[in-house]
Amino acid sequence: MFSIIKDFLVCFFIFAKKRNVVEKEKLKRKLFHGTWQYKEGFVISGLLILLGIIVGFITKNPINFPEFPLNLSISISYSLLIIVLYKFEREQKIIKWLSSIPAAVTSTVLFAVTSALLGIIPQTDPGVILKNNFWFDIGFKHLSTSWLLGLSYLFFLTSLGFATVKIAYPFKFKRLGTLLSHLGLYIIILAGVAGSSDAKRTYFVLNNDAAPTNIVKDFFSDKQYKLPFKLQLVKFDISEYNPKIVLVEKKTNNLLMPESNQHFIIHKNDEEKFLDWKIKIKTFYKYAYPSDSLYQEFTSTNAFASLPAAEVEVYDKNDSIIKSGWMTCGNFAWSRKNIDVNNNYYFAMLQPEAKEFSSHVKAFLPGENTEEFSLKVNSPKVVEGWKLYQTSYNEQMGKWSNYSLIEAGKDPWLPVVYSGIFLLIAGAFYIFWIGSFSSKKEEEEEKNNNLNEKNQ
Amino acid sequence: MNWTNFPLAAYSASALLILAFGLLFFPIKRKLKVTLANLLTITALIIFIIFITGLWIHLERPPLRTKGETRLWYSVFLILLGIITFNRWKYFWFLAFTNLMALVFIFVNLAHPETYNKTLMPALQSYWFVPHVIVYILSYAVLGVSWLVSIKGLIKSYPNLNVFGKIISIIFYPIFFIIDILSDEKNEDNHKILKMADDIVYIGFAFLTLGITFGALWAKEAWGNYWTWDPKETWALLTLLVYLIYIHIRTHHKNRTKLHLWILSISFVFLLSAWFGVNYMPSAKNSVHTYSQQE
Repeated sequence: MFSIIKDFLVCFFIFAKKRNVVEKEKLKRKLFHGTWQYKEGFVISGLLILLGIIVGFITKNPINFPEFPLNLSISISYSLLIIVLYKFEREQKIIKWLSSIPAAVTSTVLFAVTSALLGIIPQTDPGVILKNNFWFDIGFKHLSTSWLLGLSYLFFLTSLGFATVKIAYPFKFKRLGTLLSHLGLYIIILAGVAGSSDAKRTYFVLNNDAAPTNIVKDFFSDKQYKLPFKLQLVKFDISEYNPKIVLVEKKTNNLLMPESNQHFIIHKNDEEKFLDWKIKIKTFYKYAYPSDSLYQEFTSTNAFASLPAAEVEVYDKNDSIIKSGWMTCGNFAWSRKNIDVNNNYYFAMLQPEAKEFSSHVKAFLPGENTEEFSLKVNSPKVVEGWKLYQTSYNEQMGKWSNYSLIEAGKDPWLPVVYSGIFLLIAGAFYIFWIGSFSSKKEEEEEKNNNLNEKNQ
Repeated sequence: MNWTNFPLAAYSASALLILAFGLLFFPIKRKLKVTLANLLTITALIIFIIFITGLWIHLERPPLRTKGETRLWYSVFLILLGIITFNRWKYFWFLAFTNLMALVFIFVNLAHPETYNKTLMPALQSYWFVPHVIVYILSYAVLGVSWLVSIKGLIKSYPNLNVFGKIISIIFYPIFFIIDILSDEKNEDNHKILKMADDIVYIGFAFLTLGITFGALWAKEAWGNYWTWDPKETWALLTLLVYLIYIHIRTHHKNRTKLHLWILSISFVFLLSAWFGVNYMPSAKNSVHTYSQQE
């Protein structure tokens, strides 16, 4: 085992392991002399990390990419720069290296390292700035807007850009799949970052019975947005699953699952075993009012603030009834009622879960046109360039929510990002079908090139 | 056609899939094996497609709403992708694997046909749900196989194993044995092992890419943003990057086989982190991918 670990360390951390005389000579090569390889890549990555931390510490703020039109011109000129540099200066050591595998690998490693930090360290919510917090200043608490990620992004993007141009010039049909996936990823990353500053997003409340409005107040930041159309909530609809019943241990407040280990969802005449007891549903009303303050009886109704209620019987091991009565999960208007089994356990009904919720909305467009539509989770609607989403509702009031929470988003760069995504998907199909990136012929060419390099 | 017809369709399709599965281990001529396995599996697929079409017409909506219906699609897509991949790559183990997975989902459906009332939160009710999950299941499974191959290569690379190494190789031996039966290649040296690993990684990587892009497209429809650096997203990206590193490093120093085997075997750790490790990380407290109940 020790030998495996040792060899692993040797393999992993000392890339230039001595193998033969030629590689020994390579090892002697000074940094940044001769053909650049992995070593240079890791040194550059290390410097970028350091630079990212220092710049972050000095500026202390999340970075924002410039807005339109500057972001567009930066994106285009950066891409053109890569193409022109490759076309005319590709024999230059740096350009050659940037379009090589070692640069691709080391930039991917750097990108992976910063992403890993992002995936492990809890991040602050977007927009939140912590003052006098060292970890926030250097970017570790807002990595997605930090210089650290920005610089590793840039390295990754640059290497990817040069690789894309290298694959494209001279173009060979058999490299089409490779080109698609590289170009697709380049477009996604470039447009995703550059376009992020042009994207607008706000969450706002549409109240029941409120007049149509085009000025909306952001739910989280109190900022105001003006939409190019007025919106009115016609009706908010929600359908719920039947509630579940669980057994609760009083001492620990632990919820116990039934014997079958599947959630016990209430249905009339259903029964289920929990530990030593069996609970049977005699009557179930999805929406009901208690007829007295002691909850001794319920009547079915669909009126405002009605709530689920079930009449149950609890049996012991010998199949004799030990408890019976009504139980309910309670809501904003009524308190809950459990069924006590003994001093240690009671049965409780959980709040029903939402199955589907939707807002019927009327939009007043410019020019006196109106449009009515329904918004649901997973089915947004585009109006005048703004994409509207059903996000949430007054969850405390549940079924009887007095408002609907809507998200409106506008992302002019989306078509660009999507075109990149579709190129990438096409590339993925190619990878699946063709497999290897380089055919045998190319491998031989590469070998010859390597030999030539060595001879030089 | 409705769910009461399901046992008929399920048992006949299962019988065909089991036959195809058994056949793959049977020492008959390769060509005959390929033809028969294809015939059996494709017939099972057709039975399922007929059942789903009937169910669709009966329900007057696409059967995509309940978990039982979702599992139905799992079985169908697994069989379909199994057939496509098998005919492209001719790996017997792959068809054996997808058939087995499809059987698992069929039998879960047979055991719990009453799955109409299981709760499914609104965010998951989307036509992206099945393709997104299916390609991820497949990519994880395929990359899992590539991990096994890398472990096999590593064990062969270190002939003087100590006690721990020997225990590991004994634990894995039955799996290597099955892979050896199902694959034509008698993997003698690291180069051949890595060639096989490469092919497998390409398949898995393609599915991984599809999974993450489908996820992005779905996220745009459900949450209004295709990328939010959600911990699960971040780890999915990391997994992608790590396999990207493997693929690129393979095209360069072809002779560093031990290093490549190590990278491939370690990549799987990232995959596992993305799959379920992420739930235990400090960053996961606000993840949209944690679907556990809040009560």
